[in-house]
Amino acid sequence: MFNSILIAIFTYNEEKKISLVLNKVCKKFKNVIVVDNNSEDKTREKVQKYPVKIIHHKFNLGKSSSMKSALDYARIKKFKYIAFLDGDDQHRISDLENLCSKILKIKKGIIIGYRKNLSKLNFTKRLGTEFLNIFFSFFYQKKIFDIQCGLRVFSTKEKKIKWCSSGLKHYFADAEITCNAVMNKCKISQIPIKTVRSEDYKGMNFLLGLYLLFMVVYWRF
Amino acid sequence: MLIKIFLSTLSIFFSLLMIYVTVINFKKKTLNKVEFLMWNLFWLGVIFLSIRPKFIDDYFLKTYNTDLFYIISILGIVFLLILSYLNFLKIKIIEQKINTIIRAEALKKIINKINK
Repeated sequence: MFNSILIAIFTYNEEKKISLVLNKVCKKFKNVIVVDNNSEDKTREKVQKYPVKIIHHKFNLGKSSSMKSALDYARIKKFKYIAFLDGDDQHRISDLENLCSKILKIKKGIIIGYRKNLSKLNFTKRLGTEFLNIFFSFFYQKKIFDIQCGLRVFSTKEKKIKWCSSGLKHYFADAEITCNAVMNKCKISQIPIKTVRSEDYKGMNFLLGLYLLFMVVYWRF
Repeated sequence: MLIKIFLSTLSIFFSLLMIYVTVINFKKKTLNKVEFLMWNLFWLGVIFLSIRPKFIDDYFLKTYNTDLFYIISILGIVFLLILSYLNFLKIKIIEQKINTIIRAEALKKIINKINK
C-alpha cells in the first residue's frame, strides 16, 4: 500500500531508541532509510540488523542536511512521497500510517502532524510550544498547530517546500520547512497525533528558543 | 588611571589567550611556521603596546598630529569590521562546500551499494 512512500528516519546517538522505532516501522513499511549523522554510539550497528538503507554522513551536519540527503535519495530512486520521522521513538506508527494514507489521497502538498494533547509534555516544553504557535500565527497569519512537529509527509515533486535557505546548521529544520511552506503558499494539511512524553529536545534550551523566535521572523521576511 | 590599567590588563590577558590559541592551531597543523611566527609577533606587539601605550601616542603625536591619529583609529576599526565580514563569508562558503561534499559522498556510497 505504501510502496511509493519512502520513510526517512534521522538519527544521532539513538542507540537506546532506534531498535524500538525500526521494529515498528519495518513491520508496516518496506522502503525505509535511516540518515545517520555520524553517531558516536552503536546506532549504526543496530540499524544494520534491519532491512533498511543507511545514509551515513561522516560529520554531524544537523537535521536540515539529513532531510536534504533523504529527499535527494527519494528523488534519485523516484519515490513519489517522503515521510520524515524522528529516531527517538516520539511518534506512533499508527499516526505515521494516517499521514501516509492522507498523502496518498490528496497526492500533493505537505501533511504535518500536530501534538493534540500538550498537557503530557513538561511545563517548559508546553509553554514554549504554545507560545511559538501564537507567535507564528501572528507573523504568518496562518494557524499551524505545531510548527516543530517532526512527523510529516510530503510529495517529492513539491517544489514549494524549501529549507536551509539560511545555510546555518541549527536545530529548527522542521520549523523552517513549515515557515517556507506557508510563505510559498503550499497546501498544508494537519492531522492530530498522539503526544508522547519525550526527552527534552536535544540541545534545546531557553536561549535556543529565543533564537528560534528570531529565525521564525527572519524566514517570514 | 584605573581604567587604563584595567584595559591594559584585559588586553594582555586577551593577547596571551590568542598566543595560546595560535600555538594549539600550530600543533594541529592549521597554521604553518610562517603564519605561526607572524601571528605570535602580532600578539606580542599588542602586549608591548598594552604595557607601553605611550610609545604609539608619542610616535603619532610627534610625527603627525592628533587629527591624523584619529583618522587612523577610525580606519583601523573599519578594517577590522571588513576583515570580520570577509571571514564570516569565507566560513559560510566553506561550510556549504563541506556540507555538499559530505552529503554527495554519503549518497554516492549508498547508490553504489544498491547498484552492486
